[in-house]
Amino acid sequence: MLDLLREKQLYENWVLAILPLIAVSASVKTGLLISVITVFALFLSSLAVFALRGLLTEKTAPFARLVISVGVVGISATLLGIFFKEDISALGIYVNIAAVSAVLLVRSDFVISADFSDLISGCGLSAAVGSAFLIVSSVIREFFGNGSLLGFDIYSDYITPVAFLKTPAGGLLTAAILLTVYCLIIGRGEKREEAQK
Amino acid sequence: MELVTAISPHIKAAESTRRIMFDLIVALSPVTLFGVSIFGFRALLVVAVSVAAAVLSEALACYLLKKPVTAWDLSAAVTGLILALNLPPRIPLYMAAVGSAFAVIVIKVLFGGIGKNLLNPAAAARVFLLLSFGAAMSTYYEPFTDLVAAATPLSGGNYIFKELFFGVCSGTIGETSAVMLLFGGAYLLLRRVITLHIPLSFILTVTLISLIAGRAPLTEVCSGGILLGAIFMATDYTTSPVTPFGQLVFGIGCGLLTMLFRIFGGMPEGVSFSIILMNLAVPLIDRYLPTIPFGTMLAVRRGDENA
Repeated sequence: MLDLLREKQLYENWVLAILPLIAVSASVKTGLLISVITVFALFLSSLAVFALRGLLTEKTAPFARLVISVGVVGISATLLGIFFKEDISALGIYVNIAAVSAVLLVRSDFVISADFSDLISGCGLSAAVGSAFLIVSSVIREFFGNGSLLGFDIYSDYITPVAFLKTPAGGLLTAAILLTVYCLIIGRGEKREEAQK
Repeated sequence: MELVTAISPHIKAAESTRRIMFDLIVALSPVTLFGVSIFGFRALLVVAVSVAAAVLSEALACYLLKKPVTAWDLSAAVTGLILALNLPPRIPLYMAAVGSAFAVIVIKVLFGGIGKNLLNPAAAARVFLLLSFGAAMSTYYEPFTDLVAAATPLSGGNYIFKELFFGVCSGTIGETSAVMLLFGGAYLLLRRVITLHIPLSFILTVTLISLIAGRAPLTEVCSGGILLGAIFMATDYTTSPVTPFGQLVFGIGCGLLTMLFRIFGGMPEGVSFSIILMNLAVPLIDRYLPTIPFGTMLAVRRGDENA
């Protein structure tokens, strides 16, 4: 797992990709929805560019992915908006951040140069790690910032929630704490590997 | 003869972190005791919980991050104490604990510990609490009673200077009594823990802008957290400039921003916001107003081509 993370150089990209999404998703529902939209855009844009890799270069691939992602995000948001109208309208124009995040989650040069199985595993890993971060952070933000989970009030009648966590700054603070935990886990994994060697 | 070689410093002062922090605690004692005497036992609980939470948070964070535990150098206790003095006397105790934990863990330990934090922990924690628990942070009480204050010195209150100077007015635990804060400041000056540059420039800027804005300068200085901020928060070694001129610029910036927030801002108080904004500007101030090495002058100033 550590080798895969290091090999695919995912870390630098998905931090950039996930932070704006974390900032706009203050509830679990919003986090899940934007995560689904982003993953959908990631896979479709990556597969489309992979299919067109003969026609694209390393410089044009990111733009192609972005154009395709924007289209996919628009369609996904419209479709999901039928079932989750309030949550999608709460996101507003920020749902389009998903398009940029989808492009950033996996490097475009990797999309063009990798073989199919590597592409799927890379996209899958990015999507999994990114979504996990997003959903965990939205759980934390909704639970501690709103006193509820999935819209169900848990303790806000008894204890005042920490409203700061509902703000974008609070989202970035949550992200910083999660990244600290992530780095500690990776660091301990590396130390264990070195000890075993 | 045995010659010992070592790297500098070769001469050390007797000061230590613990000693400086102890001086700060002594300086804050008058205002703390006064706050407890006018707001009651509940205020003492807030102070105790805040200090305990700060110390425990630092110990826990250092232990989890496998760093040397510095909770016993009293810096966390001072952070907890200053934060408590910035809180209303009847704030729920868990909010005080959350604020202290935020100040120590997020603002201090995660940035590298004492000496490496970017923002003043108490000021940042106060802003965090204000944004998180706005209603509780804005509920003040009349002294010697359990009554919620209808007005405070900064919002609608009609207090005379004597009441503000001696502190018989509503407000946070530690910001009401100007005279007690000044005693504490005088003690710190005598012990050479702080210098006059930041507090004086802060207060004089506030005075000047009050005069320009047509407000009563003495009332403006003695109300809110200006004295508490100028003496105990803005003078934090880590988050203030190194050079005397830089400190003057820092103090002027704090005073200017405080008055801008008070006059044009939506909230009545702006001291904490101004301090943390100026904390962010400190690297810039230190860069453009550097220390001059002893015995030399800056080549740029002299116009010399050879430095």
